[in-house]
Amino acid sequence: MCNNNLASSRVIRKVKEVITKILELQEVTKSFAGVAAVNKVNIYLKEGEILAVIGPNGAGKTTLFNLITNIYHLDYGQIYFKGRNITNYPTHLISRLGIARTFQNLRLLEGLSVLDNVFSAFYVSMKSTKISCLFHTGRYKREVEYFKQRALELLEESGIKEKASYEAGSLPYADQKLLEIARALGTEPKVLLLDEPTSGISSTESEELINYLFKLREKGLSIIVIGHHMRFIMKICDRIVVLNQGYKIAEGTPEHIQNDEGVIRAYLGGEQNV
Amino acid sequence: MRKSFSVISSISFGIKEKCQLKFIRYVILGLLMIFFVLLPFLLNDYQLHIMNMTGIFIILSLSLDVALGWAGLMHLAPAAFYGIGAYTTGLFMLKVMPNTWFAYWLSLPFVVVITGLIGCLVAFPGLRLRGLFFAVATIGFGELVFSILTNWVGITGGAYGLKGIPQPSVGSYVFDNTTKFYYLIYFIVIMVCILLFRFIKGPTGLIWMSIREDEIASSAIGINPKRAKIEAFATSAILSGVSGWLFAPYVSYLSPSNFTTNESILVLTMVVVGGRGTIIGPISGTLLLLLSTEILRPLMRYRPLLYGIILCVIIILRPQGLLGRLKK
Amino acid sequence: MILQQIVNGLTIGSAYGLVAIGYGLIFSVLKLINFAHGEVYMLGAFIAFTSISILSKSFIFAILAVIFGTASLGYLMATLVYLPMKGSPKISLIVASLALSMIMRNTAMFFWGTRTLAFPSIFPLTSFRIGDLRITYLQSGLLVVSFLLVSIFHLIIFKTKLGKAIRAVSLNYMMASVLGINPNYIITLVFLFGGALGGIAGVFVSSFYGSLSFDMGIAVGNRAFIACILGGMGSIFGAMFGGIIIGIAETLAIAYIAPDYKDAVAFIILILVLFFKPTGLFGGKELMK
Repeated sequence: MCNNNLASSRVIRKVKEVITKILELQEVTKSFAGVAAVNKVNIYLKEGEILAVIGPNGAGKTTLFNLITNIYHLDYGQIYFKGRNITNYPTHLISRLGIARTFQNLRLLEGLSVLDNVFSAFYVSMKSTKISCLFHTGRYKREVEYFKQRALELLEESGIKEKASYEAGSLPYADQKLLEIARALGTEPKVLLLDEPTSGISSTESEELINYLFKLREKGLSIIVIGHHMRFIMKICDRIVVLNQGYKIAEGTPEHIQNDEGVIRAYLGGEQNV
Repeated sequence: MRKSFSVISSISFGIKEKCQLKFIRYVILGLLMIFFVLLPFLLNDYQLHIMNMTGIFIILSLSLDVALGWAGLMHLAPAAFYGIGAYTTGLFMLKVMPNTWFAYWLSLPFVVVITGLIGCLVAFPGLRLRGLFFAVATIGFGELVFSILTNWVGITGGAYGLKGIPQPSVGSYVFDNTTKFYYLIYFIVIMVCILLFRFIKGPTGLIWMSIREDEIASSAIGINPKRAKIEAFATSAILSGVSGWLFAPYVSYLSPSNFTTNESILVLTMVVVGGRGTIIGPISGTLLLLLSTEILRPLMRYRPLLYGIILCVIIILRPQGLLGRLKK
Repeated sequence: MILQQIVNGLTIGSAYGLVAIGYGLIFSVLKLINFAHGEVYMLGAFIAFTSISILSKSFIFAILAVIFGTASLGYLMATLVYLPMKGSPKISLIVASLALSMIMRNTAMFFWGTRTLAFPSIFPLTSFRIGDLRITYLQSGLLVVSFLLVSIFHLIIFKTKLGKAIRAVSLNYMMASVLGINPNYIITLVFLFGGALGGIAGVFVSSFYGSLSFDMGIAVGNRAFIACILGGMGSIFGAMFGGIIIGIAETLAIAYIAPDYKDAVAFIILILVLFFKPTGLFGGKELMK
C-alpha cells in the first residue's frame, strides 16, 4: 500500500509537470548553409514561470525565438504549445494562439503613432466586418473605443501613456522597448518571448522592467527572456537554460548555473568565476 | 512633438481644438463643393472633357496607390484592370443586356466581382515573389491582358475594339453630354475618396500600412500578411475596374490601345510624383500631370520630351513624390 | 525548315542576350530594373546609322563609334540620374528609368524622325551553307561576337580584381565601400559596359534586318529583361542563355504558329518562369557563380 501511494504521487507529479508545460520544444534543429544554428535543443516553459535563455553570441538564442514563431522553418523537431503541436504553423496563427514576442532590433511601425502601434495588435480581436468599418456603424465605433481604451491601459502600465500620440520613431530608446512589449501584450498572449529587453537601457529602467515583468507574471503570463545582463537575468528568472553554439549545455536554477563549469568555460574560456 | 500619420491621434487634441479644426475643415470642404458644382459653367466643352478624363484617372491613381502606397505592393499594371472593367461594362451593355436603361447600373456589381476575382487570382501566386519580381509579374499580366483584348476578336472586337457603347440613362434621363458625365464622374470620385478615407482610418488601412512597414512584425501580432496583400490588391483591382466602368460609356468606343503598359506607366508616374500613401497625393499627381500635358500642348512637338524631362527632374529631386511621406 | 529557324532564332536571341547582360549587371549592382536599357540598344543602331551615312563607310568604325556613344550614354544615365537617386524607394527608381526611356525615345524621334529607316547595307550579305542551312556572315559575326563578349565578361566578373569588386558591390553595397571599393566608380563602370553591350547588339540586329526605328528599343528591352529573369539575375551565361531561348522560341512561334503572337511568347515564358522558378535557371539574386 505504501508503494501504491508512492507510485501514484509520482504519477501525479509527472502529470502535473506535463500539464503545466505550456511551451515545449523537442529536439528542435535548424541549420543555415550546413551550419547548425540550433542543434537538437530540448526546452520547456512551465506555466507561470520566467525562463531565461542565455549564452554567448551566436549560441542560437534568437534563432530559437524565430523557430517558435515560425519565422524560420524547423529542420527537425517539434514544438508544443498548451499540449498542441504547433510545429510550422504560420506566424500569425501562432500569435493568435497566444505566443507573443519582441524583437531584439525592435520592429516598431515607426511612422505610426505609439497608440496605433499598440492598437494594431488588437485588430485580431476586432469582430466588426469590413462593411461595418466602412459605414462606421455603432458597433464598429464601440469596438474601436473599447480597444482604444485597452490600448491606453496597456500604455499606462508600461508607463508611456502620455506619449500615446507621439510618432513611434521619435521615442527614446527605452520607451521604444517598452512600446515593443506593450504591443506584444496587445495580442493578449499566454506566453511572452522577450528578446534582449535590457540591451541599451539604464539600470534604473532595468529595475522598472523587472517589476513590470513580475506584475505580468502575476497576471498569469509565462515568459521567456533572452538576455546578456546577468544581474537582470539572475534577479528575474526562476530557471535558466544556457545555449552554446546551438547546443543546450546547462539548465537549472540561477545558483546552479552560476557555478556550472561548462557555462563558465563557454562564456569566459574557463578563466574566472562569473 | 511631431504629429503623426495616425488613426486615433485625436485623443491628444483638446475638445476646443478639435472643434476649431473641424470647423475649418468643413468650411474648406464647403467651398470646394461649391467650386466643383459650378465648374462646368466656367469651362468650355473641351476643357470639361479634360476634367472628366482627369476624374477617371484620379480614381485610377487612387486605385494604384491602394496597392502601391498603402500596402507596399509593386503593382505596375492598373491599366489591365482598367481595361477589364471597361470591356466588362461595354460587353454587358451591348451583349448581355442590350437596350435596357438599367444595364449600365447593373454592370457595376459585375465589374466589381470580376475585377475582384481576377485581382485575387493574380495576387495569390504573385505574392510568392519578392517586390521587384512581383512588379515584373504584373507587367507580364498587363501585357497578357492587352494580348487577349487584341486577339480575342470574337468577344472584344480585337484591335478594332468595341463600338457603340450606349450612354447611361436613368429611366428617360440620358447622360448625353459632357456636363452630365462630369457630375456622374465626380460623384463617383467623391464616393471613392470617402470610402478610402474611411478605409485609411479604419483597421483595414492600419493593417495594410503595417504590412507595408514591417511584414514580420505584423505577422507577430497576428496579422496574416498574405491575406492582407491579396485584399489590398483585389481592392486596387476593383477600383481600377470602376474607373473603367466610367470610361466605357463616356467614350463609347473601346480599343485595346487605351489599356497598354503605357497607360499603366502614366498612372504610376501620377502616383509616384504626387506622393504615395495618402489620398491627396495621387489626386494632386493626376491633376498636375494631366493639366501640365494640356498646358504643354502648344509645344506639340516637344511635349513628350519635355514631359519626360520634367518627370525625370522631379523624381530625382524629390523621390518620395511632391506630397508623399518620406520613407525611412 | 526548322533548323534554319533555330539558327535565326539563335541570332536574334544572342542580341537579346547581349542586352540582357547589361540589364543583369545593372540589376546586380543597383537592384534596379533599368527600363531605359532597351533604348540604349536602339540608340546604338542609330549612332551606327549616322556614322555610316555621314562619317565613314567602315563597319568597324561604326562599331567603335557605337561603343563610344552608348557607353557615354550609360555614363550619363548613371551620373545624372541613378547615382543621385541612390537610396530612393525602388518604385521611384522605376519611374526614373521609365522617364529616361521616354526622353531617349523622343530624342531619337527628333533627330531621326518617326519613320522606319533603312540600315545601309555595308556588311556583305553573302552567306555560306552548311548542309541545308544558310548562314549569313553577319549572323555568324554576331554569334561569334556574342560568344566572345559573354566569355570576356564572364572572365572579367569572375577572374579579375575588378570583377571581384563588382561582385562585392552587388552583394553588399556598404561593406564594399568599407573595404575600400568605390561603389560609385563600380556602378558607373557597369553602366558603361551595359551601354556598350546594348549598343553593339543594336548595330548587329539593325544590320541583320536592314531597318531601324525609334521604337525598336521597347520590345527588345522587354525581351532582354525577361531573358535575365529566365537565366537568373546575376548570371552572365544565364542572361545569354535566356536571350537565346527567347529568340528561338519567338522565331519558331512566328514560323509555325502565328506572327501575331510574337509578343505573347516572351511574356508567356516570363509567367512560366515566375511561376515555377522565379530565381531563374542559373541564378541567385546576386552574382554568385
